[in-house]
Amino acid sequence: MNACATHRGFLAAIADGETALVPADTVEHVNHCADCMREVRAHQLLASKLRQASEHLEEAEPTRRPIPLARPRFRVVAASIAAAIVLGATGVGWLALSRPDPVLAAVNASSQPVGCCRAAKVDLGSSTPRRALP
Amino acid sequence: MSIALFRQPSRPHFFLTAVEELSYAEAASILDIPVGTVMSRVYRARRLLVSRLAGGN
Repeated sequence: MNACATHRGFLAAIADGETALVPADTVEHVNHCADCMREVRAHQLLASKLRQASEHLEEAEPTRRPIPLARPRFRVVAASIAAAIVLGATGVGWLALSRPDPVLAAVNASSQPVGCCRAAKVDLGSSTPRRALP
Repeated sequence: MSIALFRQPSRPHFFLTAVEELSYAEAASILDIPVGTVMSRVYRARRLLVSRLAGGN
């Protein structure tokens, strides 16, 4: 078992096919050791399972899928909403522009001559009967 | 996934070799470390994963 311990660190590399990185005596040992060979096979099985899992995750991952274009029905609805917003904004703007400006109206009213006092001029002498002095 | 169990030093090595299927030399080049370090850390990460899976954690 002590011999296995010295070679154990290379078992994953052997399982991954990286035998160029593994010393020759380790390869020789693994070829003749049932325990080490079993562990190499376990590493290979684990690696294949991990690859399958990662492929499955890539297929299920929604962020890597292309974003589908909007359906035509949704496009028509969106265009209708946009048109309604534009028309509404235009109507509000038209109403705001057609309403008389209160400041301008006040300025116009103040510049006109005041006619109320002249029109209300009353001849008090003619309306009040004078009494004859005794 | 159980990759989250690995400590930071082993995680990129394991990811590059097991998931991205890069060779040890390519992973070493990307991580700018010796190939022997990649080899030992991949081995440790796999042993840890196997022990966690065997333990049911």
